[in-house]
Amino acid sequence: MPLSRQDQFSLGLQRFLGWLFFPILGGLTVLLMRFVMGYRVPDMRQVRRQFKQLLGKEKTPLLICANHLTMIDSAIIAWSIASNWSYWWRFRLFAWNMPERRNFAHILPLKIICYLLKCVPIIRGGPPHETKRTMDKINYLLAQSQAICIFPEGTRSKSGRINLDEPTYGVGRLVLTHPGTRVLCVYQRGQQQEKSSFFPKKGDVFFTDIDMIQPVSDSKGLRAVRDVSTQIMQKLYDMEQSYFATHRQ
Amino acid sequence: MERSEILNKVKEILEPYVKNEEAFGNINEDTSILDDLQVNSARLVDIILAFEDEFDIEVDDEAADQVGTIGDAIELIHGQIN
Repeated sequence: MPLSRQDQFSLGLQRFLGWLFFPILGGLTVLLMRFVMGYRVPDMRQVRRQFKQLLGKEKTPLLICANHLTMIDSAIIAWSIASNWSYWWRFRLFAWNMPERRNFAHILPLKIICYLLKCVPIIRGGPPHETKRTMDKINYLLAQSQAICIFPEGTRSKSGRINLDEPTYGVGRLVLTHPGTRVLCVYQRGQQQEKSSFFPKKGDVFFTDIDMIQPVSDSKGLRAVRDVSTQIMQKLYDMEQSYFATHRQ
Repeated sequence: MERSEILNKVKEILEPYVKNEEAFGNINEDTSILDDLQVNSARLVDIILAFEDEFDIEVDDEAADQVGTIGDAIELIHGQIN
């Protein structure tokens, strides 16, 4: 079902206000991560260059799919793959997120920050009509070639490792709804990160691996949804295997 | 195929995904798959695909979205095989 005009307007306004405040808010976020929390991404230049190359000049729907270990994964990913200036220039690449509403909606300043940083809250296990409305918004944004950041595992990984046995399939549905969608798979992990946590530890150093895939399936319906979701999960799993083989021997 | 026969097969398919054993023991057509049996919503796709394999039917996305209770599942399967 198409998104109501009111919701379209609300998203447009949110995008504009986000863009307007981004130099301040984006800058503060980076300062906080870099100098207060002491986070570092040693390969940042290389990762940003690679992201630019993978992106090319094509303006297609873009899903950023990553492993999920902390509450601020998407912020660290955003920081790692492009500069704030490039986001301000092409704000569609600064990805929309779908955080759990219950994690932040009760704290007004956090609610405002999340709004300005392009968050579309979702209530996991909430009323079906609300979930559907959120997914309609995400579909609308993806159709506008806005980047969307999504965690295919659905939740932070308790074991700290990607579990192929319990995938979620929402990501497959998004890809199949928007033919031509490209999926930027991101495997990111702090050196001190063993299992999931609220924040990464202070001073953590982040390994970041990215690759672009365009999943397709010969199947139809739900089988195609499962097939595409599995391809994305498998890619992240392979990236994780590669990380542990080379960095945690 | 009788509804009771379908129910038994549906129960077999659901069993590995159920987190509330007590509700599973008292299962009836009004039992909610997500709320009562506490099946992870992400597993619904696997369950619907298992229905397709078991009953040799095809379920489209919209019909799959309508499955909330055991009764809905039975109705969906019953409607397709009869």
